[in-house]
Amino acid sequence: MLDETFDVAACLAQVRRDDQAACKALVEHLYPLVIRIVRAHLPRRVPEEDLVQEVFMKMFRRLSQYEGKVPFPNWVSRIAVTTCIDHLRAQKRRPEYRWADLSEEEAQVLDAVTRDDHEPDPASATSARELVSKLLDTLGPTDRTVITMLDLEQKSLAEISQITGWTQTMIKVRAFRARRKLQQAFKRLQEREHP
Amino acid sequence: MSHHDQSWNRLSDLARRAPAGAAALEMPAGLSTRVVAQWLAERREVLLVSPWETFALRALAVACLITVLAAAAAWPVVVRDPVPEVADVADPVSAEVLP
Repeated sequence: MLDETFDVAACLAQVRRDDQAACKALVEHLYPLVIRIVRAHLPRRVPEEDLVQEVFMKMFRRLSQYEGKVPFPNWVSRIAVTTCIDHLRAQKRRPEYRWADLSEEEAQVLDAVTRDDHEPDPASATSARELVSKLLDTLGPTDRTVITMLDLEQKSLAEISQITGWTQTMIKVRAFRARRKLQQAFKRLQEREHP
Repeated sequence: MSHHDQSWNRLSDLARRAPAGAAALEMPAGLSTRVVAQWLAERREVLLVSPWETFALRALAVACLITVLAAAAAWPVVVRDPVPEVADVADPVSAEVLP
C-alpha cells in the first residue's frame, strides 16, 4: 500500500521548512492511504477529490501539532476519518430506501442474501457494494464509520480505536446499536418487497 | 445470530469482493501541485500577518506600561490636593446662596 522505503521523518523536516518538492512528495506518498479512507467513508454528493484535498490541507495546517507519538500515516488516517465524519454530520437528511429504489441487480442480491438456501453469485459483488452503500446511508455518521471499519474493512477494535480515538468499549456499544439500526433498515427494505 | 445479522454478514462478505475499479489508487493529475500551491499561499498569508500581530501586541504592552507609570507618578498630587467635597464658601455663587 504505502512505499515503506519512503523516509517520512526526513520529508517532514523538509516540509516544515516549506520545501515545495517535499510537500508534493508527502502528498504523493500518502495519497493511496487517504483515497482508500475517503472512498470507504465517502458522504453522498461530496466529490472525492475535494475531500482528499481538504484532508491534505488539514494535515499541513496541523503539522505543528504532530509530536511523533503515533506513526505519521495513523495520524493522517485520523484526520481523514474525522473529515469524512464531519461531512457526514453536515448531511442532515438520511435517505430511507424502498424496494423500488433498488436496481434490478441490487434487488437480486438482496433476495439472494436473505434466502438461506441460496448462495449469492460472486459476480454480483459490485451490486452488493452498491446495496451496502445504500444501507449505510441510512445510518448516522459514527454508526456508519464503525460498521464500515468493522464489517467492510475488517479492522480490529484496537485499530479502530487508534484511528478514531474512541475507546474500545465505546466502539463495541456503537457497533451494537448500529447493527440494530441496520437490522431495521433491512427489515424495512424487505417489508417493501412483500407489502 | 438473527436472520438479519446473517443476511448482513453475507451481504458484506460479497461487497468486500467487489473490484476496486480501474482508476483505483491513481492520483488525479495535478492534485499534489494544487494542494501544495494552496498550502504555501496560505502559509505566506500567515507569515505576512504575523509581524503586524507581534508589533500590535508589543505596542499594547508598552501603552499599558505608560498608563501604569503615569498613574503612579500622579498619585502623590491626587492624595495631597483632594477635590473638595463641600462647596467653597469663598466662591461668589455659593456665598450668594448660603446665608
